[in-house]
Amino acid sequence: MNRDEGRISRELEDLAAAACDGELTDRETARLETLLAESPAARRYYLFYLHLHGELHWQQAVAAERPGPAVQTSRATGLKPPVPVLARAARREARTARLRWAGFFFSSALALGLLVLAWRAVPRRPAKPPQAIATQSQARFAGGVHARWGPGASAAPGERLPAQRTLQLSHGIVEAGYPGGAQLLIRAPALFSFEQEPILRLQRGEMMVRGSAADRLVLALPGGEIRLGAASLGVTVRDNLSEVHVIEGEVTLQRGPDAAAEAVKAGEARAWTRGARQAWTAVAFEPDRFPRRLPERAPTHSVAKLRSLAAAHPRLIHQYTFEGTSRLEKCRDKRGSLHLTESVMADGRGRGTLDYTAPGLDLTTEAVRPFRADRGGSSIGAGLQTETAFYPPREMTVELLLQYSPPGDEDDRSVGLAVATRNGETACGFFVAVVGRGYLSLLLDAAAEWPESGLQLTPEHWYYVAVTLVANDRTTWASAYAANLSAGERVLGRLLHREPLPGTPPASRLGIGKGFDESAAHAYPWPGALDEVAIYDSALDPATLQAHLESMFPSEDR
Amino acid sequence: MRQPVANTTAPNSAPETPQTVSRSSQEGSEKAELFAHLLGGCQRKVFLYALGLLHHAADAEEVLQETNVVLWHKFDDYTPGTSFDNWACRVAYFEVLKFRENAARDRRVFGTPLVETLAAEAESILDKADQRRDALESCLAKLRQDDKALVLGRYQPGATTRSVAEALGRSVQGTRKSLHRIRAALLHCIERTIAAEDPP
Repeated sequence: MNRDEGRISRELEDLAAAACDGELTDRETARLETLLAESPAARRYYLFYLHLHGELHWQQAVAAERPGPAVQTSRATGLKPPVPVLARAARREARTARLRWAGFFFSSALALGLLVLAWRAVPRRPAKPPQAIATQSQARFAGGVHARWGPGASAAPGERLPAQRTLQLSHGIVEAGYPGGAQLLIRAPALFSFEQEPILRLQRGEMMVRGSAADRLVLALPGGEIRLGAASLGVTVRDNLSEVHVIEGEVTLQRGPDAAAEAVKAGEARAWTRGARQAWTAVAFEPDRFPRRLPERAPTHSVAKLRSLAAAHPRLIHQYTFEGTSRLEKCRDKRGSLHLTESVMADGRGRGTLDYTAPGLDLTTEAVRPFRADRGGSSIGAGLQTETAFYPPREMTVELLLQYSPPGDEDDRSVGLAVATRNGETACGFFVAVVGRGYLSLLLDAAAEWPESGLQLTPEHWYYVAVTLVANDRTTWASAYAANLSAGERVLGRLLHREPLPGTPPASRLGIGKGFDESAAHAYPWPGALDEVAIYDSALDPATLQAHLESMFPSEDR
Repeated sequence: MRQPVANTTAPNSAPETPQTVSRSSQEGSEKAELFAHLLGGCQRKVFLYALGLLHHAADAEEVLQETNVVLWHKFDDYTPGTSFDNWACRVAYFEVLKFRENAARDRRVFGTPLVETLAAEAESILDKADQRRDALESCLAKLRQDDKALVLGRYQPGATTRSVAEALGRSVQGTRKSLHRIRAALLHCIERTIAAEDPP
């Protein structure tokens, strides 16, 4: 190696790490190839690094293929050899008929052989301490509402939850219980793990804990440990900030192994940051922040209620709820036959993915999150569009829930489209758009000015938005309404009132979370999440839209 | 330099007649058992081998699937008593080349000369795969709890650095750096462990 060894070494490390994440650009791949071709030491490092990456990948894949929470058996002497891969092969759709037949024959033969040999294969490796993932905690999964576990984790009610394995709850709320009566309510998004002893490590998330004297539960939070008997408390961990709100009884808080334990009583709350010198600070006691019980599966006020109201409307012609257990179902037009398909922007996907299971406004829904690249995002990313053309009726309403996440390259000329059509240079049907720095607007003639709605979207807030359009041959009268759901706005704000706009909605494929540039190439992916897109062949009156908005709020709060 | 060589172009093409099928079902069952036994022992190694050449886990898994099918078809070519693992890796090498041809339509991939070189060098590294795996297990146990949780979370099926970062509420870049730091520490630990076991 030469005098640039340090620099090259760091570059190689970065490239190897990017390779593991599957995020090498073509240019980086070329650079990595050069570095590897030049130096045997670089190749050796690269191969060792990839080998480690592969070992970790393999171990966890094997662990995750075990059904449900891992069950410890007397023969649990290590990681099993190839069963998961073969099982996965059997599940995969074969890409060709030849492979299908070969795979079928191959799997059948192996299934027989493996059944016979399974018990012999396992002990071939020298006995090692069982992997942590094969152990169980004392906590049992009691149930959940709209719960969705992260990769590799799942549980059925009554099953014991695995120990020493990080569990990710990405959606919903779950309940778990200990034999002595201690109860946990954990709300997504959360990242946590159990020990075999009654110890729960919360890395991120929010939970309500009801302790019991018998269980003597210990909560290990970043930079602190809580011991509780028959006390109940709420706990949150966000960005290394931990908070404890003691609701009943008394708990013991210890910031480190050498720190003195301190008692925190009912009605008191403490917060601390991992790594901070200060032991803790007293914060406002807010017991209502924490869930006390599992919520109703289908509350009367929810996005689900809005969905059903929309579905019952006689003028509904297309409905995209993005609900379902498969992409196909999520992309299905629940009212008409204009189903959606994923579409990559004109300059490529940009190594991002469209998220079909993005968190929605509440637990009764899931949203989609188109992908928009941080640089050149107007033409790089992925969105959805209909498989066939949409012919806008003369009168129509577009209704949806949207969330805006400012793109990395946001500037005064940024454009993101939530619902759009396009036909040629000027004829555009940008029915719901965000322009500039988060301004909600719409456009029907590319040569015209964007009308000012006066609404600048608050980043990451969910909005209810409705646009009504009434077109004649040249002009369209547009009304627009919105309410910031995250801010609790329960009265619809009117942004535009029968505003005459040049142009009429053109027919083309309907983009959801994307639109088209002047040449009708895929462009302008929506930065953020979208949900409950409904299109009616009528300009709905404000009272109807207000009723739709109200359906998402509890009646006692109206 | 050792070049992976395998007879992947000459399949066992003898047509399977009713006579050969009925010759002995017991024979077929024994063959399947033997194959399953040998295959079980080489899966991890073939995966690691393919990963070194393709650097993407999903691609390596796909190559592994294809390799398994080819191994079954060509099992009659295998000479009992020789290393099944090495034979499987040679078959995997040609599957990697085939996979690269298809992948090259969408993205840049390593050139064949480099893949050949990596393939030869990967084999020598894989000779100590079991030793490195055992060392990894003990090194994982030595990690700080947070680091261990992070790295195991990253390798849950379907997880990505981005998804882990989002779950933790951290930046993707910061999470990537943390993961790299942990991997580097694990590599260092593995080398030390092996060096201690095999003193020069």
